[in-house]
Amino acid sequence: MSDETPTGGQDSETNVVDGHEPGQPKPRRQIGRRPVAENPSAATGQLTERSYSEDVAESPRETTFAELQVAALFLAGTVMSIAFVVLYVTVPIHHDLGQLSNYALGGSLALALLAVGAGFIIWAKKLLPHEKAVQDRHDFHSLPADEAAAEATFFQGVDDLGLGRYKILRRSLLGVLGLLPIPAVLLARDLGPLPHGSLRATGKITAWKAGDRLVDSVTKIPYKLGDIEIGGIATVMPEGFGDINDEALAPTILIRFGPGQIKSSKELKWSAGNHVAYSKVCTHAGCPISLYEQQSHHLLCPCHQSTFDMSRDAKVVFGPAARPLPQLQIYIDNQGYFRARGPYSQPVGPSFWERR
Amino acid sequence: MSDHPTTTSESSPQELVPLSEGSPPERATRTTLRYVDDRLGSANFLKRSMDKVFPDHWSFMLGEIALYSFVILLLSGVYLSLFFHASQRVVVYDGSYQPLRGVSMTDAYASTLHLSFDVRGGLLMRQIHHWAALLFVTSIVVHMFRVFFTGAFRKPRTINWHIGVGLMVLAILEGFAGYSLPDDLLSGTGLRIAYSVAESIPVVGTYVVYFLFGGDYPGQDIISRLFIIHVLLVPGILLALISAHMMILWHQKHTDFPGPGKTEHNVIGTKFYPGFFLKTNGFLFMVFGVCAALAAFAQINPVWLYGPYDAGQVSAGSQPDWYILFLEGSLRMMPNWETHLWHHTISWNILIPGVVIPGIMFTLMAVYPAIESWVEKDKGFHNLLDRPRDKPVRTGLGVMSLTFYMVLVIAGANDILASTFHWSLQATTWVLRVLIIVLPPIAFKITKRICLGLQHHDAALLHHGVETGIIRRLPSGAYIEVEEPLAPQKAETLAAQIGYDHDGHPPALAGSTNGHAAADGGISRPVGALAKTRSKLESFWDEPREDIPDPHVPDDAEHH
Amino acid sequence: MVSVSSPDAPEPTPRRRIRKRRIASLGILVAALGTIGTLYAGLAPSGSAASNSDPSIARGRQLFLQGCASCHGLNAQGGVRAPSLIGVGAAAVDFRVGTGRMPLQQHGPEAPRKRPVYNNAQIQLLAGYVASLGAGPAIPTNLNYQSADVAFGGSLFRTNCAQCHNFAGSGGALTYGKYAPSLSEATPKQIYEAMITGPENMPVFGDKEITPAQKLAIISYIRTIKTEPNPGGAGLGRVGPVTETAVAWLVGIGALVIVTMWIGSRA
Repeated sequence: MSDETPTGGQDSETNVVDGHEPGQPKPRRQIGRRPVAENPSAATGQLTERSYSEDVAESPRETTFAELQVAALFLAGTVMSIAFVVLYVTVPIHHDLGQLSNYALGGSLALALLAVGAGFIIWAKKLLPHEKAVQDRHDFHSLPADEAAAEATFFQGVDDLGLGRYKILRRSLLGVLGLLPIPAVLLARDLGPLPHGSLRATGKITAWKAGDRLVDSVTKIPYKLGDIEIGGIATVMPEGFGDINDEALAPTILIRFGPGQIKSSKELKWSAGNHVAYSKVCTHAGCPISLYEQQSHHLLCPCHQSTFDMSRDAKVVFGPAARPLPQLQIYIDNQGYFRARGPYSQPVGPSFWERR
Repeated sequence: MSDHPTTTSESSPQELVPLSEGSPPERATRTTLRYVDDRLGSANFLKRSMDKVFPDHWSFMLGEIALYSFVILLLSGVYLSLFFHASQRVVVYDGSYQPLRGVSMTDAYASTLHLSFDVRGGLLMRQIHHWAALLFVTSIVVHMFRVFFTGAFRKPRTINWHIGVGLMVLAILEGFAGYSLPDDLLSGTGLRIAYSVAESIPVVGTYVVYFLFGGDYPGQDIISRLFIIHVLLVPGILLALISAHMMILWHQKHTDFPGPGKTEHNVIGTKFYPGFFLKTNGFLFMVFGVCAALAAFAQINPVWLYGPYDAGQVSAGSQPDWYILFLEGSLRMMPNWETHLWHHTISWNILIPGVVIPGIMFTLMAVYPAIESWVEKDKGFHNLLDRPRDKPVRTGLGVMSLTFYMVLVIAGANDILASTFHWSLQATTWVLRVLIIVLPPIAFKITKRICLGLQHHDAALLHHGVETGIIRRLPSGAYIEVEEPLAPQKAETLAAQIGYDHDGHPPALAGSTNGHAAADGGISRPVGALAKTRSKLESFWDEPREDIPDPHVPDDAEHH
Repeated sequence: MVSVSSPDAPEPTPRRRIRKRRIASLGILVAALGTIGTLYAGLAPSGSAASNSDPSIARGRQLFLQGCASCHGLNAQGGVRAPSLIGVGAAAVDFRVGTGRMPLQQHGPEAPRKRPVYNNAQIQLLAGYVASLGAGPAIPTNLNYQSADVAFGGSLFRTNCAQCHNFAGSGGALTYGKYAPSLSEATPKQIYEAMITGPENMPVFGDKEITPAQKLAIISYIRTIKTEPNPGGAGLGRVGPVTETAVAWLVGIGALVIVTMWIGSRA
């Protein structure tokens, strides 16, 4: 490939800004390798030429002005740093929830930093010589001879190690290398429990069990018939739950329909007094889902907009969720409290591989 | 003054200045330098480093925004970690923020509230950290646009491109881990979705999430595990990869746009010391200043408004930070496909948008340089950049991918759009579902067309000069518009950009757009399916350049 | 000025809040007469409800006939365009008319909040008339929410309200063009009325589900976060990371790109 390079040496010579040898057509881009050895300066990547295309600010007046500009910015930075200290001490942190403090500290810090930054940049632009430095690039590959030598050295080493000759050594080495990672993998085992049991049975075990009263997720008061108005919705948990985050799959919504509004006979069968209970955990990605529209009976997930028709078995009418929300069968006890007939009959929440 | 005597570094070696000479600071500096050199032999390296030339184009500083925001992230992050408790122990808040007093929450959330309301400057540091994080990922992406559209990823810089892709993915992960830490309602919702995405992976999904979260969502471990991932594991890898990125850049020198005097074998610009050093440090302060200004005047991630995480609660408009928004969008747009087979469920509605699509996107980014050089048979080194218009297919593919990505991002905010403009949420989603299929190819076509048009425009400019608007009647009775040739300097720049050499010879076109086909040993017939594919792709890639007349051969019209 | 100019399409489901429908025999008579009147496109108001002796109810009815009856029927029995108002209660009227949602300007998925057409006294008259048709939630008075438990209200708000109205009450999208409005303009009384009446698609939160004290706590929380300053600076609409994205790209990166151009420019 190197033969394609024009070898006249015009490349390896010092490059002046507009320098090229007239009459020598040069390809737009250089192909392949260049004879590095011919170009010591390129090999070391040293600066070969430096020319001034423009100059420092023309007059001393301009220089002085630039200096003053930079100095003023540095002074502003100093003032702002001091201001930060003063404001840190004087501005009360609890005033307006700390808004004043945030304005004061952030504002002074930002101004200080911006002033110093602008000072540096103006200094570089106005006071430094306007150089246009030209530097040769060196190539990124080695000389073929060096490459050959490196490869030879490596393979000589392989040969010396004798991996090809000592078969037992090689096999035992492979064996130990294959086994050594196992302890490391095993150590990861107790990062968490294995999921199999709870998944394969009737599904993920939520905290719901037969006879649990439906209690409000915030006030923990059990719901009775008549507590919820028609068109109302409540977030409920099984009675006696502790921290809701320990039972993240248990949140359930209790919706009250008007007479005759439940369209599905199965849903009606599992309802009690026109109240239905459904899992609040979206079957798509598990967000708690309760944007309930009491006229259209649509339930919308705020995360990915899966829409369920709550009057028709929570059928999916829009969005990425594939399955309806699982229904919790409920009944009303003789005191009027809502109770779960049993646990959820299928896993709640998003799908997973082991789900049937 | 343009004939200022040139100073050459190759000048004869100077005598060492005796240590007794010079002012005290000068003497101290010399002593230090010689102390270090006596032990490390550093003088040569130091000299070469200070002389390293950096080209001046503004777009080469985009990567520096990322570098400096990373510095800011390290500094502010250390500060935050002094106050943050990575614990899911439930506490009752009794700090100074009244609307949450007496509420049960995790220690992680409570300590974030404490930092925000009861530590002077604590909220400021939190906001600096978060804004810097957004700027970090944003500048990485903008930097990658620059690298992609100018072809700076080509040999010899492919390794650095791969490191860059890795850095971007890690930055996204790091950001996600970071904003999940405060355990507020929004971040908890995000974690819930992340859990579901990982859970959807066939066969191993449930095991992955059980090991990651220590059991069922949310468990007791995820915050402390994310904490160590966020403050040690990922930053450590980021630091190592950024160092490698910078060292390779340093070693290979920066690319540059074509221009007068610029060749594949030189760099023209400012030397590192003192000019570039001063500018880049000034820029560091500017980046820090912009972060501080944003933190002072624009509120970000108000966790106290979101409330503590609660598995039974959710807020309308639950969005992640912007760099996750494309995932959120793909999840929102996905049709509800799910397969039930042999007592198993494959949840395509999460798997495809949450795992497959990002996987394909990042893989394509990583392999693009290899694909392009394979198709173009381009094995050459490239230190001069392409202008996007000179590579219509690459630019078109880039804009096409960008369009695809933008639709995903917009879909991630479809509910905000719907409620802001009172559109139907469902209709918005449907429009975006159509657009994500229709728009990218259109974007490709249009971009390619624009590129070719611009090429033609450039050629015409060089060839005919600038249209003056003056109409002159010729003796023959014909009317012509008087055209003025470009100013010599402009013409030279343009010629270099188009790819003319200095004598105005048109670019080599043989075989492939950049004339590298011959480098492989001549044109050979495609053999085998792979070669045929390559050959087909090549004809797709090689949009023949609009014929550019030689500017030095006068046009016929001018002779009439 | 008080007439509904544009025709309204039928409301999707007119069977809202018919709870506790205890319609007196007089009411049935009224409804029957009204229906007949509508069927025969009778022009003259029958005046059958004028048997009610209270003069303010009569005045309310007068307002109703002028502004509402074209859709809701001459006797508020409802029609193809609008639901029956019998039994919706005074609170529903006060909320809908007081927030300007009624009378409707044009039919859409959601009735937008606008400047009320009626003044407060007129609204009271209208509400009084509708309340006289059947029992329903009354207009709440003495909303002493200042002393309520704001943090508890916050928990209730995040469980029952934030999913639609957003964490800071900024509003959010619902299905098919409907939306949960921002709470920034809602007065405490209106928030209370919305909870007990469930306007449009909003669920009803009755007093046994969320007690009056709890409702005051929710109102207290909404008022608190509405009036509290944004300690971190501009609130960016309080809609979460979407606006933060815009600021990061347009302001953050925008400013820094301008700085790079400044650095890269000559002289």
